[in-house]
Amino acid sequence: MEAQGQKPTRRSTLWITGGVVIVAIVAAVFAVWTLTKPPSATVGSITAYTLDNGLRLIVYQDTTAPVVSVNVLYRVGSKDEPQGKRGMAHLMEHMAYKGSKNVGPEEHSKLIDQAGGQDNAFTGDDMTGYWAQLPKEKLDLALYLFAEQMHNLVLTQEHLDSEREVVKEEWRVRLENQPVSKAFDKFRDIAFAGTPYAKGPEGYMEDLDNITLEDLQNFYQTYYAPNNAVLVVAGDVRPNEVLALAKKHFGGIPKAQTPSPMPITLPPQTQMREETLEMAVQLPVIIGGYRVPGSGHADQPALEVAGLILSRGQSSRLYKKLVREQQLSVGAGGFPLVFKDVGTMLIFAFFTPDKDPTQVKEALLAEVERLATEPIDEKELQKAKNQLTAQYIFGLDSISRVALELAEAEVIYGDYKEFEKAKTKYDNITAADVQRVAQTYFKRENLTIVTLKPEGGTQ
Amino acid sequence: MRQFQVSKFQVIKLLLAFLLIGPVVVWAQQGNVEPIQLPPIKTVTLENGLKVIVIEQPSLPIVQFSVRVRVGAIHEPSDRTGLATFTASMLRQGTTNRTAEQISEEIDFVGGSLGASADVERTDVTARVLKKDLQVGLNLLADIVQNPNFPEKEIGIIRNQLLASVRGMRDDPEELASAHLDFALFGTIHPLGRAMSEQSLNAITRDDLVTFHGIYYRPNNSVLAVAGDVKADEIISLVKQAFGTWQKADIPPAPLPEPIKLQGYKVRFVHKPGQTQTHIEIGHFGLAVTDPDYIPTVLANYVLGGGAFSSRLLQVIRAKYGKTYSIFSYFPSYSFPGYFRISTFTRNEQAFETLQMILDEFKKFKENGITQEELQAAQDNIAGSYILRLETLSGLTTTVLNNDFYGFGMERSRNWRKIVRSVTLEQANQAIKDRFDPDNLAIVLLSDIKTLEGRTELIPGIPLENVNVVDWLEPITARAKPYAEFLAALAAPKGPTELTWAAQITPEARALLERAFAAQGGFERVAQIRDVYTKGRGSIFRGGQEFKFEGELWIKLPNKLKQIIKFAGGQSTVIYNGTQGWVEAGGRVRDLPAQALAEIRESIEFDSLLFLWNIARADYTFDIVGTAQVDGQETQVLRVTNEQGKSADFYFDLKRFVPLKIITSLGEGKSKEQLLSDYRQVEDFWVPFALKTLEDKELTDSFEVLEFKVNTGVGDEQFEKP
Repeated sequence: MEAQGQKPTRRSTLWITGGVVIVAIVAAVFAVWTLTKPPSATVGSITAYTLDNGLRLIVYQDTTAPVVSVNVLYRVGSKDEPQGKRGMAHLMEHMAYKGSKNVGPEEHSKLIDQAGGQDNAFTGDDMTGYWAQLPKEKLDLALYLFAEQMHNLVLTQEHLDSEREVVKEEWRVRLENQPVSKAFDKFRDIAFAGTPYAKGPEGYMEDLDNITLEDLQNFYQTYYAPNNAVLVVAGDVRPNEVLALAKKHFGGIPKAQTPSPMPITLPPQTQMREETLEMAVQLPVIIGGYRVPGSGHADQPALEVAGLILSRGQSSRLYKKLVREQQLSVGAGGFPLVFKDVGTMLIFAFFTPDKDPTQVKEALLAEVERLATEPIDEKELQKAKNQLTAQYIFGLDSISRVALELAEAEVIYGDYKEFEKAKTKYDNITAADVQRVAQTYFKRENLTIVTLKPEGGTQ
Repeated sequence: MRQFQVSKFQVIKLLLAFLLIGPVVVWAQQGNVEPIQLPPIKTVTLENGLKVIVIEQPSLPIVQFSVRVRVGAIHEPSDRTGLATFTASMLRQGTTNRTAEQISEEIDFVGGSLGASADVERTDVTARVLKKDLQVGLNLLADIVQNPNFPEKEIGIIRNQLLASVRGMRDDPEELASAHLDFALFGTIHPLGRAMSEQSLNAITRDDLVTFHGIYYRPNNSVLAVAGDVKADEIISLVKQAFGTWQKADIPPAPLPEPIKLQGYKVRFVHKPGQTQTHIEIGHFGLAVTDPDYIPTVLANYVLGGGAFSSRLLQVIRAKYGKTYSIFSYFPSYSFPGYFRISTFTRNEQAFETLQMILDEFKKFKENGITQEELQAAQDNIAGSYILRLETLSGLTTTVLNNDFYGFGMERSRNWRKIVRSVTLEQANQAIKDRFDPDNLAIVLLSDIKTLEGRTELIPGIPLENVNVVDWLEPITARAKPYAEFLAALAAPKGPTELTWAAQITPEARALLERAFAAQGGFERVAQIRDVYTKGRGSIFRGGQEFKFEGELWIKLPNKLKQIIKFAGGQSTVIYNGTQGWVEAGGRVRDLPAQALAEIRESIEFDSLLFLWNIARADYTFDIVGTAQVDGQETQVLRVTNEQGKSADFYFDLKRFVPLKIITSLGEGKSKEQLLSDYRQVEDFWVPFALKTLEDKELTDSFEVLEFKVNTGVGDEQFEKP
C-alpha cells in the first residue's frame, strides 16, 4: 500500500510494450501544453444547462464511487495571446492560485487538500482548464473556490514577480532542457508558421519577462467570465443539486464583453518543409506531420482510424515494419493532433544513433503513405473499430477523464455531445474512406518534418 | 500545468495528493473515521498455491486481470541489472503456443491491453479487456505468464528497446539525477543502487531469461487479481482451467545487504553540458512500509514535502521565493527499508542558495517538529483522499494487491481513516527524530560543470574538493572523480568511443584482445585514459654495479613523457614532447639522441596498459604466435605490429588476461624483455607493481611501484624543454 503524497519510485523503465509506451511519451510531451485529443467516450446520464449569465454547466452522473470531479474550462488559450506576450495564458493560470477576495494566496489548493481532494490546472492552445477531484460531499467547497477564481482574483505585482520565475522554471524544465520537446517546438514553428499555433502555451522567455500586471488584469477581465467558461461536474451527484450549487456560487457573476474568437487560417503550403536540429541527444527522433483540417471536420474520424492502424499496439503497421521487421526504430507512431482551427497528422519515430536518420525517415514516410496507395484490409479496419469501442468504454472507468473529455468537447467542438458520438461516428467508415483521406492529406507538399540528430552526426 | 504529476507519462490521471498548512475553520473536515467501503472481494487459493482475489465491480463491462509475481530487481544477479524488466518484457514476445505476432494480433483485435512491468520487488502482468472478450484476455495472460519461450529474434528486438531506454533516460535530467542518487545512496552492493546499463543488458543471455522466469514465475510466488464485471464463482472456475496446471516450486530467498551508512554529506555532481537548470536530489535511507513508524513518518513527511502545494518546502522554495517549479519529498513503498528523497531543480545561478534553503528547512523540521494543526491537515488529506484511489478499476486492483503483498489484508483499506487519524503529535514528532537525518545525506547535483566555476565551496561547509564529478554519458555506477581531476580530464582531447577491428585480425587474436580490454574495464574505460603517473623506486645495473634510485614518471597520451630520477649523487630529468626530447642533469640540458627517442616512443606504445589505448587509434596487425610458460603460468603470445613494422610480443596470462612479459626487438638480433608481476588494481585498472627489464638476457633494471594514478590532469607545459 502506498501512502498518499508520495512519489512512487521512478526506477523501473517503462518501455515494456514498445510502441504503445512511446506513443505515451510523445503524447506526454504534447499533453504538457495541450489537451486536444479528440473525444472518444460517452455514457449514461448527462444533463446540460446554461445559466443566465451564459455559464455552460454539464453534469455527468456516475454513482460507482463516492467521488466527484469538477472541471472549469475557459475558452481561451495560448492562441489568443497578443504578439509579444506569448505565454500569458499560462502565466494567468498560475496567477489564479495567488489569492482572491475571500481566499488567501495558495489557499485554494490547501483547502482542496484538506478536504481529501486533489487539484491542478493546465493551459492549452485553445483552452485553460482548472480541475479538482474530491469526496462527493465536498462539491460545495470546490464550486465556491472555482467561482472565486472566475470572479474575485486579486492580482498583485509581488505575486507576479515570484510566479513569473516559477513559470520560467517550468519553461526551462519542460522545453529548454528536453530535446524531444525542442524538436516538437521546432515542428510546430514550421508547420503552423504564420499563425499563433506556431508557438505553444509555453511562450517565449523574453515575452514572459514583458508581461505586465496590467496585461494580466486585462486578460483576466476579458476571458475569465461565465459566458466564456464551461463547468463540468462528474461523479456521484444529482443534476438538480449541482445546478442549485452552481447557481449559488456562479449565478451572481456578471457576463463580460468577451470577443468572439477570430478563425485562424494557415497560409497555403506548396512544398515539403524540413529541418534538422543537432544537439546532445542520446535517443534521436523524427517528428513530422501532414497538414489536416482543424476540429470538427468530417474527415477526422477516418484520420483517427488511420492513426490506430499505424500505431495502436504491437500489431500496428509502424511497429511491425519499423521496429520489428526493419529494426530501424525503437518506437514509432502517428495520430491526428487537432486544434480548434488547425491540425496535423503527427508521425514520429525514435531511433538509436547507429541508424541512418534518412533511412528511418524514408521508412516512416513510406509506411504512412502506403495508406494512400493500398486499401487497408477489412480485418485491420475491424480491429481499429474494436479498439475505438473498447477505448470508449475503458475511458468511462475514470470520471475525471470523462469530465475532462466532456469539457473539451464543449470547448473545441462547441458541443459536449461530440463526446457521446464516439459510440457511433466510426461505424460507417470504410476502407475506401481511410484510403481517400490518406490520398487527400498524406502528400509530401502537406508535410513538415523535423529530425533531431546527435551533435556531430550519428555514430 | 500548475505542478508536476506523479508520472509525466500520465499527466492527467495520476495525481499527487496534497496537504494543508494552517487552520481554515470554515471548511475544515471533521475527523471522519468511518470504515471505507470496498466492493465484494473473494479470495481462494488453488492447489498449486496461486492465490486468486476476485473484486466484483460490475458498473462497466470491463474485466482486468493482474498477475503479481514476487520478483523484481532485488532478485537480479549483480551483473545482470535489468534482468527482471527484460524477462517481463519478453513474456508477450512468444510462447510455446503462440508467436509474438499472434499474441499482439489477438489482444489488439479486441482492443484490449496486455503488458508486464517489473519493479524493485514485484512484477505485474496485466490484461484488460471488454467483458465479452474475457476468455481472450484470460487465455493470453495465462499463456504468457506460464509458457514464454524467449525466441532469440525477439530477444534482439526487446534488447534494442531496453538499450534505447537507457539512452532515453540520459536525455531526461530528472531521471538521470535520480538514478545517480540511488547509486550514491546504495552503491553497487545493493540492488537499489544498480542501474540498468548497456553493459548489463548486453550481458543478459537467453539462458538468463529462461532461468529467471523458471525460478520466480511460480503459482506459489504469485497472486492473480480479477476485477470488474465478473462473478467470483464463475471466474474462479475459469481461472482454475487457465492456471491449474502451473507447477509450484521452491523459491530461493533474496537476502538484501545493508547499505553503507552515510557520514556527513556525500556529494556527487553529474556534468551535463548545456544544462540551464540544476537538478537537486537529496536523500538518505528510509523504512519499510510495514514498519510501525511508517504512517507517522509519512504524515510528518507530508508537512515537509509530501503534501505538494501545502508542504513547507513548496511554500518556501516555490511559492515564496520562486526558485523552482516543482519540489517534493517522499518515502517509496517497499517491504524493506528503502530511502527518503527530496527532489527539485532551479536555474543554475540559484542552485546553491536553493540547496542551502532546502537544508535549512530540513534542519528546522528536524529540530522543531510539526504542530498539531499541521498534523491535522496531513491527516485530513491522507485519510480523506484514500477513496479517490479506489475510483478506477486499476486503482482498486493496485490497492487490493498491495494490501496482500505487504501482508496487511483488506482491513488496511477499511480501517485506513482510523489508522491515519489515530497517529498522535508525539508519534509524528518522534518519527521525525528517528527517521529524518539532515546531517547525513547523499546529495546529487546535475548540471553543466560551469555552474561550479569560481566557487571554492558548494555551500558553506561543503568545499569543492569534497565534490566528486561524473560525466552524464558515463555509466551511472562509474566512479566519480574529484572536481579538479575531472576538470583536467575534461580539458584533455577526446579519444575514439569504440574500437573497430582491422579486417585482417584472426578470431583468436581478437578474442584474446577483447579479454584484455575486458580485464581493464572495457574499451570505453581504457579510451578514457588521458595520462598516467607512476612513482616508485628501483635499481639500474651497469658494469656490474647497482645504482639505486627513486623516480617519478608522467605519460600524457598520446606521446608525451617526463621522468625525474633521483640518485644518491644527484638527479636527472628526461622530457619528451612528442617530437623532441631532452635530458637535464647537473644544470645542463642536452638533446636526446634519435635512438633514445625511439625507445621512449616504444615504451609508451607498448606499455602493459597503454598499448590497449594505442591499438585503438592506429593500424596494427595482430597474430597469435604461440603459447609459453612465464613464471610457471600458462600464457598465450600475441604479436602486435605497428604500421612501421615495429613489433612487440605480449605474453598474456590466461586467468586475468594481463601481460606477464613483453618482448621488443633492439635491432641486430638483440631483444629487450620486460617482466611484469605483482598486478594490483588501481582505479579498476590492473597495474604491474613489479617490473624487471632484461636486455639480451642481462638484467638492466628493476622497478617497484609505490604509487600509480590515472588522469591527474598534468598540463602540456610540463613537457616543454627544461
